[in-house]
Amino acid sequence: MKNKGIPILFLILAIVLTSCVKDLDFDQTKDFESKPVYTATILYFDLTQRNFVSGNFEIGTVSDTLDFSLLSNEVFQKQLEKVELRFKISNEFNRGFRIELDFLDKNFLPVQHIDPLEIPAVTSDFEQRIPIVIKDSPLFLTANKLKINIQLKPSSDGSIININQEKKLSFKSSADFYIKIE
Amino acid sequence: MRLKTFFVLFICFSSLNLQSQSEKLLYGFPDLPQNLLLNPGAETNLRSHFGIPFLSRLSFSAGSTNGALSELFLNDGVNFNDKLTKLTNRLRSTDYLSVAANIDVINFGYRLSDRTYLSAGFYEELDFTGYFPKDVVQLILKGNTSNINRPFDFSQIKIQGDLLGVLHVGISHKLNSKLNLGARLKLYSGGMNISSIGNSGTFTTREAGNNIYQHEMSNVDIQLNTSGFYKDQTDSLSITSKEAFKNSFFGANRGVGIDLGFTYHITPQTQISGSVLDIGYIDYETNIKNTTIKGDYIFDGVNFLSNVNDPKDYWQDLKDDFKKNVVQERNTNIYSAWRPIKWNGSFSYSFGNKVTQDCFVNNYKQYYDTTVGAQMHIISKPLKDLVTLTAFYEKELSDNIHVKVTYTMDDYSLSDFGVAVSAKFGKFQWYGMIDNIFEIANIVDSRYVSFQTGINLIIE
Repeated sequence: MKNKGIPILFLILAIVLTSCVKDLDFDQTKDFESKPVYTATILYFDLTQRNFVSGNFEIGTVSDTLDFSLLSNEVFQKQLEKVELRFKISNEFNRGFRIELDFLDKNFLPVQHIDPLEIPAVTSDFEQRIPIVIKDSPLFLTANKLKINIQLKPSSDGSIININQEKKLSFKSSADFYIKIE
Repeated sequence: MRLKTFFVLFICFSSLNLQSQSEKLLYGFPDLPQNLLLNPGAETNLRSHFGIPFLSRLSFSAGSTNGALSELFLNDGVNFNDKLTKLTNRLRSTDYLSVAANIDVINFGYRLSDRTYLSAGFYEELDFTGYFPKDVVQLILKGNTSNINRPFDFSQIKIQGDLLGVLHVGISHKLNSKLNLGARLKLYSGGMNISSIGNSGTFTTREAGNNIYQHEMSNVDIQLNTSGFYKDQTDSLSITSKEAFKNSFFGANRGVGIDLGFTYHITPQTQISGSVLDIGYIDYETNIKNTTIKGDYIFDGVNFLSNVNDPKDYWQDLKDDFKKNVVQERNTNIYSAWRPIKWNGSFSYSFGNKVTQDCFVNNYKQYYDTTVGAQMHIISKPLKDLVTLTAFYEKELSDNIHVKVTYTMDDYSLSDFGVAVSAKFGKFQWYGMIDNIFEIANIVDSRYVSFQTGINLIIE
C-alpha cells in the first residue's frame, strides 16, 4: 500500500516531462497588417437665392475656407494610403454651378487641386467620388485648409436670379480614409 | 510598430481565458496548511507548520476558451493576418483573459490549543481579468466604412487587475465535534491596479442628418483608473517591476479584508464546508492616473458657409463644441478598488479503511482513507461570475502520500481532469497540483494550464 503513490508520482512527472511543444513561430507578428477604412462626414452647406443676389446684382462667386488640423495627426502622416472624397449635390436653380475645391498648406499655397465639380441646372442626384492616392500626391499630407469657390454660371438669356423665388443648392460630402497598419 | 505589437499582443492575450484556478485541487486537501488560505474554517491536525520562504506556495494559471496560442502562432504556412481575422471574428466580447499567480513569501502556523490553530503569513498575488472588447478592436482593425449603422459598444471595455501583497492572520477553531469555524484578517498592500468597469456608450455612423453621414456618440461614460503604472502624468509607463513589487510590501496603497469559512460534519462520514474569501478593498493613493470620458455628441459635419458675412474658425469651433459635450478629464483622485470575491463550497462522503491518526496533544482522530464529493467555486468577475462545478476523488495511498483527482464541468471543457499529490519526506511535505492534465501534455494546444506547488516543514 505504501508504494502505490510512487508510480503515480512518476506518471505525473512523465506526462509533464514529455510535454511536447509544437513548432511555434512568434516572428509571424512581423507579417501583421491591417487595412481599416474609416468614413468621416466632412462638410455640408445649403445656399439659397439670397446668397447670390445683393441689391439688384448677382454675386458670381461665393467662397469660404475651412482650416483643419486632421492630417497633421501621426496616424495620417505615417499610415494614410488613400482618401476618397464623396460629394452629393442637388441644385434647384435653373442655372448651373461650378464648384472648385483646393487644398492649401499653411502658407495658402495649393497642394492638391480637385477637378471642378460641374453642376448642371436643376439636378437632384449629382454624385461624384474623387480619389487621392497619397503616394501620387504626397503634398496632400501638408494640407491644412480647404478652399471652396462656388461659381454661379451665367444664364443664357441674361436674366438674373429672382430673390423672391425659393431655390436651394445643397452640398453634402464625406471622406473614406484608407489606413494601413503594419 | 508599436500599434502592431499592441494589437497582436492584445488579441493574443484576449484569446486566453482562465476558466478556474487550481483552487479546486487545493480546496479541502487534507493536512495541507495552504488549504487554510482557501477555507479558514478548514480542520487541521497539525501542531505547527512552517512554509519554506518563497517556496511554500507557487501557483500560476492561464488558459483559453476560444482559441489556443497554437492557432495563431503555429508555423503552418497560413497567412498570419488570415488567422488573426478568423480569431477576432470568432472571439466574443464575453471572452476574457484572466491570469492569476500566487507566491507565498512566508507562511506559518501554530496550535494555540487543542481546539484552535493560528496561521499567518505574507503572500504576493497577481490577479488580472480583461475582456475582449470586440467592437473597439473591430472598429480599429476594420474601420467603420463597412459597418455603417452598427453601434460600436464601449461597455465591452472591462479590465480589472491587481498586483498586491497580503499580510494575513487567521484562526481555525473547533467549536464542537461537528463544527469548525474560521476567519482570516487580511491587510492588503497594493502595488499596481488597473480598473475600468461599468463603462457605457456607443459610437455609430449612419446615413442620416444634414449630410451624407452622421456620427453619434451616445451615452458615453468611460472611466479608467490606474495606480502604480505612472510616476508622473506623461503617457509612457514609467514604473519598473521592481518598484511595483516594492509598493506591494507595505506601500502607501492600503486595504483591509476578511475571509470566513466553516466545516460541518453531518454524520461521521459526510461533511460540508464553505468559505468566502477577500471581502475587502484597497484605497489607491499613489502614482494615480485616472481618465474619464463622458458625454453625448452628434456630428453631421461642418456647416460651411452658414454665415458668409461672418467667417468662422469652423475647426476650432468644432473642437471646442466637442470638448464641451464630451468631457475628457485626467485626474489623480484617490480611489477604492474592491477585491474580487471568491466563494467555495463542498459536500463530501468518506469511506474505505478506517485510519487512526495520532494527533497533536494526546488526541486520536479516526477517519476514512477515501473520500468522494463535489465542490463549487465562484469567482466574481466584472461581467459574470465564473462558476465551476467539480467532482473529486481523494485517497490516502499511504501515511505519507495523498492523491486527489478532480473532474470539472464547465462551459468550455468536457475533459478537464486535475491531479494533486502531497508527499511527506521526513518532516518536509511537498505538494504539486496540475489541472487539465490531459491537455497539458501539449501545452501550446491546451485551452488553459494551471499548476501549483510548494514545500512545508510540518510538525504533527
